[in-house]
Amino acid sequence: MPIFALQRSYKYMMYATKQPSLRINQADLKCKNGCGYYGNADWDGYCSKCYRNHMDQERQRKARQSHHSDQTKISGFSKFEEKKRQQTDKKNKYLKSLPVFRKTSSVKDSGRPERHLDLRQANPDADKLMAEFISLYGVWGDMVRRDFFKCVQSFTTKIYSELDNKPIEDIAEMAQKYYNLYSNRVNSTETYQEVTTDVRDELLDFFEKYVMVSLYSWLFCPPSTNDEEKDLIIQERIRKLSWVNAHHLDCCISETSIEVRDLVYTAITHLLGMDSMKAPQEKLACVVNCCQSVVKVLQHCQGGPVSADEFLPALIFIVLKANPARLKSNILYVTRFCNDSRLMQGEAGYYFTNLCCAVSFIENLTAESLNMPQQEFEAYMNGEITSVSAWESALVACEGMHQLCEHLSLLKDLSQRTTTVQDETQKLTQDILKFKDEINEKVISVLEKTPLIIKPRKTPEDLKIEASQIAAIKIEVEETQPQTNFYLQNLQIGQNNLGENKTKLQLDITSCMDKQQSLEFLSPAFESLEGATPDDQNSLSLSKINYDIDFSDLSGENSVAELTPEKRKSPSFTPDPFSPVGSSCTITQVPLVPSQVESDFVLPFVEGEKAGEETLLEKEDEAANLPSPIKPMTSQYSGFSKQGWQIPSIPCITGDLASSNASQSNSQASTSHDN
Amino acid sequence: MANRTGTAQRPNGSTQGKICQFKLVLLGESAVGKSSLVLRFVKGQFHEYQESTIGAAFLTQTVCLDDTTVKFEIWDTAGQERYHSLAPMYYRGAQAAIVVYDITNQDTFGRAKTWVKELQRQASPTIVIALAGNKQDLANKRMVEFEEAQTYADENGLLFMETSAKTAMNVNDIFLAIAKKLPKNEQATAQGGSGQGRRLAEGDTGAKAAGNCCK
Repeated sequence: MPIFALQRSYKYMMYATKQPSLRINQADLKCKNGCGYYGNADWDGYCSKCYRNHMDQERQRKARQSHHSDQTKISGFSKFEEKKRQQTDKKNKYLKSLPVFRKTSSVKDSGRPERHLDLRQANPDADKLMAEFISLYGVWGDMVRRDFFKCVQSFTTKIYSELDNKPIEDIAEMAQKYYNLYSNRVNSTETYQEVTTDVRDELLDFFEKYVMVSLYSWLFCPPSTNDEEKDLIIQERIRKLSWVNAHHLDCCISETSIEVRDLVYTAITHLLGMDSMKAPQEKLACVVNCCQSVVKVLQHCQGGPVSADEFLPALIFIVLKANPARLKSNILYVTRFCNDSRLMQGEAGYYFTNLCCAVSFIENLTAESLNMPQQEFEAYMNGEITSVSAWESALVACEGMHQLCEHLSLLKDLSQRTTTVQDETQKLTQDILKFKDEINEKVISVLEKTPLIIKPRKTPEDLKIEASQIAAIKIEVEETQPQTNFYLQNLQIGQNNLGENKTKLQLDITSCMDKQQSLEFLSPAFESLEGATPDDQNSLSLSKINYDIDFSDLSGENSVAELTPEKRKSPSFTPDPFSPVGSSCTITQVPLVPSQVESDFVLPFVEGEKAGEETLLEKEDEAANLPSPIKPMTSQYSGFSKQGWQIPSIPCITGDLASSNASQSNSQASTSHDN
Repeated sequence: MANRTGTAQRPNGSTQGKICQFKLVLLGESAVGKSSLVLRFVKGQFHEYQESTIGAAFLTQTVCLDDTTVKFEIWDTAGQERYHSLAPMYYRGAQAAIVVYDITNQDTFGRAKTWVKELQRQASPTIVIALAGNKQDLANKRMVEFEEAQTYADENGLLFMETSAKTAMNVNDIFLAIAKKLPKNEQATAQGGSGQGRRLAEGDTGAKAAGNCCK
């Protein structure tokens, strides 16, 4: 076919202009015919004379060949094909008339292999592969390398020589046979004995890659076929179907997610990248990468494993949106020249089959296959209806639109985030309030449980009572000092009988008063307490018992009295009243007393006093030997007021009475008990 | 033969048991549980599965059968009616096919019959066809009787089992039955033949597609 040669020489020139430094040497500048004159690139490397001769020969040959090919093609293809071929021929004839595209080879048989070698050397990819081969498989020795290149050479030469004579399908068949031959050679000959099985497989791959890259220019989209036109048809078809979106295909690609969009772009990029690869396996790898991205997209959109039911529609969608260049040529090239075993099995084979299916589906797509009414379909196809979606504009429309849409989706995402942030904030506020309430409740409940408030109240109350008693006693003491001296000894013993509480309180009071009243001073009070009871010394032991009984009796009538024994048990009152430590301890507590004493002072004691009075009245005779309480009261009262810290006058009076009465009643009670 | 996924084929020459690789196509209406069936088979029982698991569309699984190791390469197909015409591209060169239907749906059984007919007419004549009545766990909603399907399978020389991807019932059994029925010694020739068939058929579709576009 003439157009081969045209293309070949054209490409040759392209290489020549691209990399002159590498290629042009003295020999190259000479006429190809070897006539000794200098050649010219415009004349395909011939000198002017040789070029003219060559052109004449070429024209004749072309006429012969086109006739021949017409006959073969008619037999092998459908009427449509025939028509196409005739069109191609017309084109060829038109091209032939242009001198630039004139065929270069003068003598068919001798010229071609020679030029072939030139071209192979000129192919930068082949050079690169050669270097790669040496770096990868150089370790296996010279024999392997030599054999490999021998096979490559024979393969390329054979294919090249048959290019013009056989339809591309036959050449593909030849290529497959060569692959098998080389495979057998690698697996059986001694040359490759030392090569491991893994490397053998790699070698086979590399063989395929090498020969295909070398022959790519002739085998990809060969002019003998109508691949190029198929490319244009499918491209136009996809362009017309640009309105088809994911919904039409029932595939669940979410259009707004940025991640999904990125993955879709990745898939599209891989698919577009297929055209730039040369070796069939590289093209296949692109398809596999594309399909894996599609699977990821689907996984992202629906979750869970992706079955073919979802995968194929998604792939169709990707193909429609990608509209890859020379799609059909690429598919046919891979189908023809990729090793059969690779196409029939494995992931690559599966995905490639899916791609073929997708393309086939697009080619035969009808209203029915999209589940839409015929009229609507036609309206879409004629451009009467246009679908506008963010997705479409992102993939089809201009960059500005694309960015707009991306920004819109970003905004949407941002607003979503804002709402979530707001929600979270509200939740947080509620939580804070809740927490606050909880804490409040807890604090309240804890406060309720806590005796802290009550304790300080009770302690002074107790002290007050004691203090009042003691105060009263003391007043008495002042008056009855001469008498009390008499009982000093008894009292000291009696102090043992008294609760620690009382003794301590006495100490308190004394210290409070800032008077250096020793226990001796206080002792008369006790003397007076017990004074009523026994003049006889036997009752000392009894008095102890009496006291206890007295208090318990009182407790029955008087709640205040009850406090005293309780307080005795409390740890703060435990220290031995006679030990210096104990007294010092109690002294420290004193300052608390005075201020609080005042108000509470009266009431409890009034009752106690009353109780005491009753008993007093009953047993007046017995109490007669005690000094009259009235007289000392007045004198003592003035004495207290002088001291200035005990404000109310009432307590003094009552206290006075109480002390005397109580002591009397106590003593009486004890005596009654004794009796 | 050069084979990128040829790990299974490599030990062929060694003294170990044979390793045969077969292409198995899954056909059937969408939503009958084709992929669930395969996922159950591939991931349910065997754990040596190493390849990427992102998709259920293409999976491989190895089954040991006496002295031979059978590697299944399972090609899932889109079950929707609109993709029916593309099926030949998938089952071309396949050594086995499982036609799946849903026992709770009479229509899917009808579709399965069409698949079987098509396979018998267009696929490789040596292809092993198995009929699987899936969703056996929903037997109380059964619309296709076991006997009916069994009779049909017997008449057409099909392997038949009612399966459940959910309970794993008969899932491995059906694949094992296929593995037993497959010819282990003619693998190479079968592959060669299929390759031949592929290219011719590809040319056919290409011509057909071009014709359609021209109209």
